[in-house]
Amino acid sequence: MRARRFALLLRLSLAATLMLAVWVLFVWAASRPAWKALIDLTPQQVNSVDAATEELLQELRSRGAQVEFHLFYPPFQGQAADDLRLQEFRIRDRLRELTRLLLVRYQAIGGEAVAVHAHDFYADAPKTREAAQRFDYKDAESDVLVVAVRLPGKELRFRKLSLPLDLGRIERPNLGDSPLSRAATLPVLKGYKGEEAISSALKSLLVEGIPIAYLLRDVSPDLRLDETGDGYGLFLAALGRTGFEVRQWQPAAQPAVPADAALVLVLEPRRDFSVKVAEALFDYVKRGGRVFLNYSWSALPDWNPEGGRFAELLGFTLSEAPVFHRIPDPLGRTAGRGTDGDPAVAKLQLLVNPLHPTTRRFAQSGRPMEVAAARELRERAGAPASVRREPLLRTGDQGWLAVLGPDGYPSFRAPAVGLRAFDVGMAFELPVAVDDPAALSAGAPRSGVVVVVSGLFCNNAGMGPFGDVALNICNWMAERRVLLDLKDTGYEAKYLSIKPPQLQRIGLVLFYGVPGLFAALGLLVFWRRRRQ
Amino acid sequence: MNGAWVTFRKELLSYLVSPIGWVIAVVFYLWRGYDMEFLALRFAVYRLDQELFAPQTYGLGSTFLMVMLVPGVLTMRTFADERRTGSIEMLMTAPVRDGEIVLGKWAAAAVFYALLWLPSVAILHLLEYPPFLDADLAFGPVFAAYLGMFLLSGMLLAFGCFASSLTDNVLLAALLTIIFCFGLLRLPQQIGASLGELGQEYYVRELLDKLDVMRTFSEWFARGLIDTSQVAFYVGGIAFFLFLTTISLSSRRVA
Repeated sequence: MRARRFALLLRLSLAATLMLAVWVLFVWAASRPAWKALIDLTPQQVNSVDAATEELLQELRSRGAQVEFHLFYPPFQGQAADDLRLQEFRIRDRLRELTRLLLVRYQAIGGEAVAVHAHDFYADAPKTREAAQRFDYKDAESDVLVVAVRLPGKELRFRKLSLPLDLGRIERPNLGDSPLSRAATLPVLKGYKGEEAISSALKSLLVEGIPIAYLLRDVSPDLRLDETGDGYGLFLAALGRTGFEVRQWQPAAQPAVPADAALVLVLEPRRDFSVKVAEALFDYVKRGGRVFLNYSWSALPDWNPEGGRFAELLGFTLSEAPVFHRIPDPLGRTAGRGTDGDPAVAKLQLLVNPLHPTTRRFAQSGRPMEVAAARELRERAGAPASVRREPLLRTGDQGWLAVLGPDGYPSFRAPAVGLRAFDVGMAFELPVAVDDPAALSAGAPRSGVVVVVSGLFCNNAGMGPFGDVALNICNWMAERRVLLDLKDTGYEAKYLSIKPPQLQRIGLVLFYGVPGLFAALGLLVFWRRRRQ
Repeated sequence: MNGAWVTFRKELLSYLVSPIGWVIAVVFYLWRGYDMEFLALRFAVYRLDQELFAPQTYGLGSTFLMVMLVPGVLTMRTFADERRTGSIEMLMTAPVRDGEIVLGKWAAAAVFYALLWLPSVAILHLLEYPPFLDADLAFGPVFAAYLGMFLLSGMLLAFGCFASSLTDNVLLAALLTIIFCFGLLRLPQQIGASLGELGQEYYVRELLDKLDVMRTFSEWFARGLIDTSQVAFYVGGIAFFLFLTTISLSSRRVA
């Protein structure tokens, strides 16, 4: 009897082991990155990643790369003393959660190539300290995600992303604007752009070498590079984060554009380039160089250059007066003509070229592009035919060139006739004549590109809403198209607002109604059963 | 398959008329009502993202109760009680294959379990209306959560059937299932922590993630994301435990 029992037990164990092996094999096969699929049923597809990200992760896997994500989430210090602090804690918490979940998706797609390390500041302090030293993480940086990539046989390269600054879109209302309402002064998490930031960082780490952007300041005497007011510090910092190294070009010391320049930046020029500099720039463009020129209008009369020799060579000119546009009238009280007479006519809502790579993504996102202090860009008579011109930004058809008063300030009144659309952004492309086919196949640029945009949009004030346009322009010009066309995240926070009467009703229905219904149904079943 | 269908109908009816099913329903919805009211209060105070409401209902204590305790209670009688009362002899001599009996009993328990969950969808739908939350709660993730819940509970119920087939003591059978459920809740994390670097290996990590059923459920299914490898894990798990139950039953017959 005992032997029989033993035999039965053995049989059961053997069958269980075999079936367990089948189960493990089945799960192993289903877990293979090539065979597993993710189905996203959320309405905003918040759990999905862009096809570009999927391709990127699959490419990394096939290249044998090792991708590491390191999360540095320091513990919240102290208690929230007020609503503002509490809200900041909540936003940080939500950003942490969204990032963690997003990385789960990256891990699922990337398979064995992707590893996520969440560093615990208390439980594993030595390891966290070691990682912090390795990635130059400092406590003051708060919540940080380090994206690191190691290609086979190469050094580990990494980039740091700040959760609140790079991944979140936080709206911080002006504290002085609403003294009556404390709630209205709290910051709100408006969106999450984690995928865009993380995938861009990943892609930038794959680009060999560091592109150098040379900033030409000689013609911009009042240009400020700090991160306050109307300076350009945020733009330059964002360029640094996307992998550029920004240096200054001093034509006095170095007449030609440096040979290692990936592009030349000229921000808010206040006078024309000297002929020498203009020709050096044009020569650079003819050799496949890239120039980004961002003009704006100034109330000082001689601070509005029209392009000079460089514009002549490319075949464009700029208006001296700013472009204004009637303010759209959504209520239709002016029969679609919009209103004028207000300083807000200087703020232009622009139509964006949906086909050009630098503006395509912005056009698809449906966000309105706004610039201030813009001037008209127009083709010069006798423009060279070899230069291809493509409009990038255009106003609506209710625009006009402002008439300047004797004090130099423009009138905000629209003229009675002659309203039309104005171009305020244009791309110029010059084919590079390369006789040696080997040079072309080696990846040499095939055309020189100049992007001219008029109007303020990438200074500190404009970087928040429109910084991606400026970065896209620079990335595209530096031949780093790999960074383009990442969709904006579908996540858009919708906050639930519940009032006390609603809560009361919910409590009544859920706490008394539903269980009561089940109790009544159960009693009914028993009563019927007893009667049968 | 006719045997499985007959067994399924008989078992499902017995669940519907047994007091235990109704007691579970009343306790579950009482607790869930309290939980959801508290959750709504949290959303009201902190003005949280409305898309989180439906997923967070699956992280409540009542969900934990349903996942950890109810499978054991529902399946404890499936075979243990038959053996205790002696009716197993009738079952064994009936012209029905062991596999069909197992499948019928498991399917009845799974369908009853799904029926227990079903009103919670109606509750979420009800909350969408203006007198309550007045918000679009997104039913895509709700569907995914129910699929996940069905698969997870299916696996736990299959284990419950297996546990019940091992003993004639219903309480022991329930206890075994509950221990198994709690084991799934705690062990994968502890094993992962003790494995160190090995735990970071892709397939080890995948297996531990899948064994960590509550985390898998709350981070994937409850958020509207279905991973086919997890579906495969649960389907494989159901097949595995039902197979073991059949073997266990056959062994008894031989004994």
